[in-house]
Amino acid sequence: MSAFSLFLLSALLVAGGLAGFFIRRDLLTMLLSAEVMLAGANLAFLVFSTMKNSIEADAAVLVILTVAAAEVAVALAAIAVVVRKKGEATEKTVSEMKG
Amino acid sequence: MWNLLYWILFILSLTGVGIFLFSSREDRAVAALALTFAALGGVFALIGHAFLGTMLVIIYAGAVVVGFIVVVWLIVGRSQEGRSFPAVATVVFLAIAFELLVLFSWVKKPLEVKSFSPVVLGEFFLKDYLYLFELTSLLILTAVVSSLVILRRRK
Repeated sequence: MSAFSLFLLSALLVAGGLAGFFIRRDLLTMLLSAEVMLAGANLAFLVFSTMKNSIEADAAVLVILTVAAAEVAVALAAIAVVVRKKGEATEKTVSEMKG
Repeated sequence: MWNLLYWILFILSLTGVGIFLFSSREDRAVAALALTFAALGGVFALIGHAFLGTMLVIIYAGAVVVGFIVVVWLIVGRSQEGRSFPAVATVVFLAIAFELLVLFSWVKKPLEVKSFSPVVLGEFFLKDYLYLFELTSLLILTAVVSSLVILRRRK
């Protein structure tokens, strides 16, 4: 279990999330793709934390987890409203909505 | 042995992402990510961050993924179509059970990294970054209230 293999996993997760963000058209999976990217970034943070023996990265990861959870709560509510109004929640339906 | 465990978790996490990317049904795509997050929690634990690994499993696999599945089922409404896969469900269950076993029992023996314990992390937040900690809790409260307001708004 080298640092390289951990960074490889982190990079693959970010790449997978990025691919999902551009491949999938519905908002739910786009949002989840962002979560996958965040999880990959968290892993990179923790590998650096282990290498440098520093607690700051751990704290950053905990804050990122919290902010991601808050973001998901608001985003799910917004998606629910979009589905109620438009019948589906895709990138196109959101781009058609005007404030 | 720890290398083997790591590569198993590596494959499990990427398998989840693969299913997520190529599944045509949204609920299965979301459920596959529970596997990814659970495996990733195990990886966190293997590199000495068992507490954050547990947090990842609880927050992502336990709350975020379940929230997404509920939204997919209740609002998008596609739960009744297609076949069920009991073998896949069993594999996912066993993987997550194995994961929890790693998180709570085995990992403390080979990796004795004291600086990453919840005690140190708690002291770090409550002594050095108290305002950031409180700001984060305020953010969660705001998110919960605002999501309720968004959902309850009438036309």
